[in-house]
Amino acid sequence: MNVSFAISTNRKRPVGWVFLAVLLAVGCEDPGQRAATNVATEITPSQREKNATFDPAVLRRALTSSPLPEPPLDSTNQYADDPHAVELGRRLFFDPRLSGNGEVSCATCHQPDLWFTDGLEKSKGLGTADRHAPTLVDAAHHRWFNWDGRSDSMWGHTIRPIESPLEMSGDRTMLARLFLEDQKLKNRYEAIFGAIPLSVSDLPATARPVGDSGSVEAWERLTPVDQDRINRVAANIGKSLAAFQRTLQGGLSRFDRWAAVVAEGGDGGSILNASELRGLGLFFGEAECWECHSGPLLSDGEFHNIGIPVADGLPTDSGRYEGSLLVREDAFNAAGRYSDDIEGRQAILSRGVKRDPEAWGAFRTPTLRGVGRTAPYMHDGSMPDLESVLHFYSTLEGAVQLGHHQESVLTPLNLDIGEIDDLAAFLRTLAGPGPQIESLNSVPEMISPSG
Amino acid sequence: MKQSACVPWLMAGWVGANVLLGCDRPVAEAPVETSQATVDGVAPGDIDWQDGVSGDGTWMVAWRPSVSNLPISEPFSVEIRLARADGSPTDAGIEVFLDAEMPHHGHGMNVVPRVTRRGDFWLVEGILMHMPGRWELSIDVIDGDETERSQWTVQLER
Repeated sequence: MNVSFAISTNRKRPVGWVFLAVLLAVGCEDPGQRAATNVATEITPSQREKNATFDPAVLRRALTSSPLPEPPLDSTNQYADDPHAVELGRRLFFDPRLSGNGEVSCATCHQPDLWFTDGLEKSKGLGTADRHAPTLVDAAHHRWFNWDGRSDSMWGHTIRPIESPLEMSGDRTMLARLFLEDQKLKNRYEAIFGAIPLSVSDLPATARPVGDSGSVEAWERLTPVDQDRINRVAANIGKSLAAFQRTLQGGLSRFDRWAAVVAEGGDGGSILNASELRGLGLFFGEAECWECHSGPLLSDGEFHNIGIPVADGLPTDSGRYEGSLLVREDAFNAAGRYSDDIEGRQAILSRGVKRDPEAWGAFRTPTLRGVGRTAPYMHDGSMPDLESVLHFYSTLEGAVQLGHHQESVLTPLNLDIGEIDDLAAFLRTLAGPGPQIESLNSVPEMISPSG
Repeated sequence: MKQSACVPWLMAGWVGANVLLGCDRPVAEAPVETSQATVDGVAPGDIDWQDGVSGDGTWMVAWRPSVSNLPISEPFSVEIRLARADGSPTDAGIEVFLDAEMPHHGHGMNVVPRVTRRGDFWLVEGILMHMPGRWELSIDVIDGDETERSQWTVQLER
């Protein structure tokens, strides 16, 4: 990620000769000049000539948005890149035994052939969820998980849908029992994480700290030591599921191939057509999509309230307002005892999360990589196609005004039909080949009770 | 609370001395550096000491980021050094607070950075400026009932 910057104070300041001499001696530049230097070094004259239709700033933003690198290290999960954990996670991802009724798996709402979404407005597990299932492809690049960022790691988040009564309706004690009773699963687990210091005979069928009264009472009857051991098993299952999900990468898109050619001085005209290039120009230019959909992930990873319309009344989903509380209280967060880096940078961020009224109704900026494959759109799945989304940004028709804390930079784009088509065409260039779906489906033994 | 950014000659010499002494950056944040190197291949810039004076002129304030190019939407750290303008010692009970706001957007950072005192400097970790554009970065020095602010305009562009 390249960032040009300038720093200035409010007033012109006298600078002492001592200070100036020292700066010259160590070769420092004026920050404002540095910004200009960065621009000049990124775009060669030949590139400018061949991409003369683009403002240099537009071209710079486009080229610095590609390619998407490998997912960042997750220091909270020491097993994140362990191939044995990946394989265990892969099997668990498709295993419906993780659900309360034995019929719902992670893949129910995150289907490989739908870019790891489910194509529904609201996801359907054992019940109907409150929100649309976000894609898991390239999700390992995020720092917050779920639309409201209620989890600060992928491994910590995997436990939530397993225990949600609307999704898989399982629970952590049930998971521990499954691993103790299925010898093959137990062997795989213990080869990675060590022995499970629990006995099936000591465990109730279900027990968790939050949920129906029966499960909560059963949890409270467990000793603190057994509660901790069950939590540890759940965390490790989450870490293996996260290890697998880190492998779900979208790969190079047509946009990436265009950027690679242009960065080498070519014009890329054979890779993106005229409509797609006009859409690219809007995206990184006057439409200012890049302000939130920034960087190679095409998401700033943070939370914004864009006033998504609701059918009637006022929205009831508080989004990040509740998510900010949940992530701080989460027993499986980056700063908690099951994290492998409780003083790392994610833990520091999580401890500092604000619970601010400004966050009411704000949702995480979704990645736009693969966006052409992940309809419907928005946290509530209320917009069926990309054109609907662009029409909304064009007019802000029906936008809900909740107060004066919403994004003040959000103004109607006033796009014409052609510009909407161009932007949609560009957005559809952002999907790579995706994860290797065939290999994901070729694990027939994974749904067998014998593991 | 008052704000000022005027720097006397004494401050300039004091900051320069810090540079001459070769103070290392407080925390290496490899992921940010790696990202810059692998995505762009462009040699990063090198922000070094930024300096100012607090509102009523009590404090000389200098800060330096842990990374050589301020990132957008990647956490980074800052080292802060303080000195009283009149040369008297800095009390043990002094507190420091760093924040950043986007005036044009009507919001600031989504997180509160962690500040810890490390001997003769303060380490601020978990600064996350998540959008491009103009940020107003402020450092408050809290001495009992008195709070004084220094402020800088930071322009982040892609």
